[in-house]
Amino acid sequence: MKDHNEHEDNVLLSAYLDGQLTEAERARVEAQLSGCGPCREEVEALRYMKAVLAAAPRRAMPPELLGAIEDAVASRSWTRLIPAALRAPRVFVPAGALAALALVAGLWLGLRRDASQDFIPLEPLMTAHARYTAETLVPQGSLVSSTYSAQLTAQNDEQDQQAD
Amino acid sequence: MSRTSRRISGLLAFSLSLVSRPAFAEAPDPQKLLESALNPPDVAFRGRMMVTHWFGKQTSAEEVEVYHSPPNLNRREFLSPDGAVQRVVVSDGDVEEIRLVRRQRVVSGDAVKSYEKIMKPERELELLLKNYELSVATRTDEVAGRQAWILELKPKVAGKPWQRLWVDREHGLILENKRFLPKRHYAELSRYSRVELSKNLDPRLFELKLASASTAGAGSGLEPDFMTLEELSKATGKMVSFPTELPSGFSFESADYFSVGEQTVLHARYTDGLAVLSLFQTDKPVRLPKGGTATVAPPSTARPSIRLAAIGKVLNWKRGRQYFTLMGDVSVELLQSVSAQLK
Amino acid sequence: MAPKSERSFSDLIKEHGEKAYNFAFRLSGNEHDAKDLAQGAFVKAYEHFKSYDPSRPFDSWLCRILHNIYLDGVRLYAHGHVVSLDAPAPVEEGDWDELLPAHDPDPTAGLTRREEDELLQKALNSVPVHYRTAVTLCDIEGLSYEQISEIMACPVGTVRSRIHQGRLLIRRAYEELEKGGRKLQ
Repeated sequence: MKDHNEHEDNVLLSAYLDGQLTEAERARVEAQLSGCGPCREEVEALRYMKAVLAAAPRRAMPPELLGAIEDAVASRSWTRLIPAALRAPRVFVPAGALAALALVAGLWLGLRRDASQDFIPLEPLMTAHARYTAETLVPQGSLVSSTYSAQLTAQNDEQDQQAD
Repeated sequence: MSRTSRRISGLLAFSLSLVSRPAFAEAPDPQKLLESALNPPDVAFRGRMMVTHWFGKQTSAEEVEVYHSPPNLNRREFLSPDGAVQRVVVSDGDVEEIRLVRRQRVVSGDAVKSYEKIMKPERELELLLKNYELSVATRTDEVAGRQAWILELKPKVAGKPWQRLWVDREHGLILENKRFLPKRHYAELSRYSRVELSKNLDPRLFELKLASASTAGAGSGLEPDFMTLEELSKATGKMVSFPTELPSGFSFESADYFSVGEQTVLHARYTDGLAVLSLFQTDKPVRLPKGGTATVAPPSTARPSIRLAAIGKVLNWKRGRQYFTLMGDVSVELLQSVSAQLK
Repeated sequence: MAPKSERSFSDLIKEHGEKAYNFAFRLSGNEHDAKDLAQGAFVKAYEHFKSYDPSRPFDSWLCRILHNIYLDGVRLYAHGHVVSLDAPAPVEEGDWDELLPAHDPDPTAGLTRREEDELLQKALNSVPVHYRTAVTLCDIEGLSYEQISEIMACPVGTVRSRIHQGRLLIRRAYEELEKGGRKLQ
C-alpha cells in the first residue's frame, strides 16, 4: 500500500469534506480513507478546523458604517459631474510607481544619444530628496525615517559591493 | 566655499504659535489640531509601530520600536521579520545618527528639523492652508488603545497625495499616519500597535555614539544646506535658473548642492506646504533605471522597492547643455505639467 | 449607469453590508481597515453598476470587487513583512505529522469566545492572502467553490487546493498560537 504522503489525492480531502467532489473522485477518496490511518486523521483535523471557522462569531456592521457608505455613494453621484481630467490618472492602477516609471523612462530616450558620456546615478539624488522630505512641516515621522535610513543602507550596500 | 548652515537649536526653529493640548470635548479646530500634532509629544513613551509602503501590487513593511523622551530625544529601531534590529536611528534634536547594524557602521549628521529653513514655518503653514482642505472627523477613533482625532489634509489640486493623521486626544502624538495616492490607494502608512506612556526611559537609549562613528555623514545627504538661489549661484559659480513658483501651488523653499563623483548636483526644493518636489540640475545626465523596473524593484528583494515607493516619480529632460531631474510623490501628469513650465 | 435609484442601492447596502464587512474584517484583520474596504467596495459597485449581471448573486460580485481592492492597494493587512502576489506561496513540504501536530479533542476549552476569535484571526492573518481568502469565503461565509472561483478569478481546481492548503496552514498556526508557541510573523 502507498505511504500516506504518496497519496496524490490528499488535496481532495477538503473538497471531500465540503461535498464538492464528483462521484468518481469521492469513491477514490473513500477507498483511500479506508486504507490509510493518517488520511483519516487528516480529514478529522480538517473537519475540526472547518468547524472552528464556521463557528467564528460574525460581526455586526458598525452602525456608523452604513451611514458612511450611503454618504460616500451619494457623493459619488455628485462627483460624476467632475471632469474626467480631475480624476486620478490610470497609470496608478496596475503597478503604481513602477508603471509610472516605465512611462517616464520613455522620456529618457532623448538623452540616450549621450550614452557614451558618464551618467550620474539616481540614488544620491533620491537620498537628498528623502532627506529634504524629512524637513517638511507636517511630520511624516517614521515614514521618512524608514525610507531615508533604508535608502542610506541600500546606498552603503551598493558602495560596498562596488568596492568588493 | 562656506556652507553656512543656519542651525539653531532644535525646537526653536518652530516658531508656529503652539497651542497647549486640552482634552477636546468636541472636535477641535483643524488648524489647531494640526499645530498641536506638529509639536513633538510632551510625554515620554515607548511604542511599536508598523510602517508600510505600497506600490502597485507590492508592499514593503517593517516594524519599528519607537522611544521618545521630551523635548526631542528619539530612538527608532527598525526590525527585520525575525525581530532582529536592522537599523537604529537616534536623534537628540540636534544630531542624528543612523546605525546600520549589519554593516556595523554609524552614519551621523544633523538631525531633522535642526535647521532654520529659508521658508518660515508660518509661510509653509500658509501654503498648506492654501493648497489643502483641512477637516476633522466628528468622532474620535481608537488606535493602540488610545483615542484619536482624525485630521484630513485633502489637496485642492488633482495629482497630489493626501494625508490623514490620527492625533492622540491627550498628548498630540500622531498615532497613525496614512498617505494616499490620488486614487485613494495607499502610498504609506504608519500605525502604532502599542503605546506605553512612560515616565522613565533609560537615558542610555538616546546616547549618541559619535566618538566611535566609523563613517562621517559627508556626501550622504545627512547635512543639507538651505540656501537662496543667489547663494547657490555664488557657491557653485553656476548660472542657476530655477523659478520661484511652479504650477499647482508649489513655491521655492531652498536650494543646496552636493557632489557625486566629480559632478556637482544642484538641488532646488519646492513645497506646497505638505508635498515636496525636488528639481536637480546637472552637467551630465542622470541614469534612470533601465526599462523602469529592472534595477528598481526586483521582486525577490524588499529593500530597493522602499526607495521608489517613498520617492514617488522621476522625470528628466535636457535644456541647453544642462540636464534636469524632477522628483516627487505626485502624479505623472502633475510632474509633466510642472516640467512643461520649466522647459 | 447607476442603480435605478439611490433607494434601491441603499437596500443593497443594508442587505449585503454585513457580509461585506465580515469578509473585509477577516481579510484585513481589523475593524478599521474593514470599514475602509467595505465602503470602497460599495462605492465601486455603485460606480460600475452597469457591469453587474443581475442574473448572478450580488454578494459574489461585491466580494469580488472588495477582494480586488484589497489586492490592488492593500497588500499587507496581515502581519507579514514583505508581501507580493507574485511570490510563490509557501507550501509546506514537511511530514504530515510535523504539519499537523496531535490535537486535543477540545484544545480551546478554557478560552473565552472572544479570545478564541482573536486567536483564529491571528491564525488567519498569518497565512498568505490567497489561502486566507479562499478559506474565509468557504468556511466563514459559506460560499460554494464556484462562487469562490468567480470572486478570486481562478479555476475551481485552484480554489480546491487553496482551501485545502489554507485549512492546513491555518490549523497549524492556530495550534501554535494556542500553545503560546513561537511568535508568528
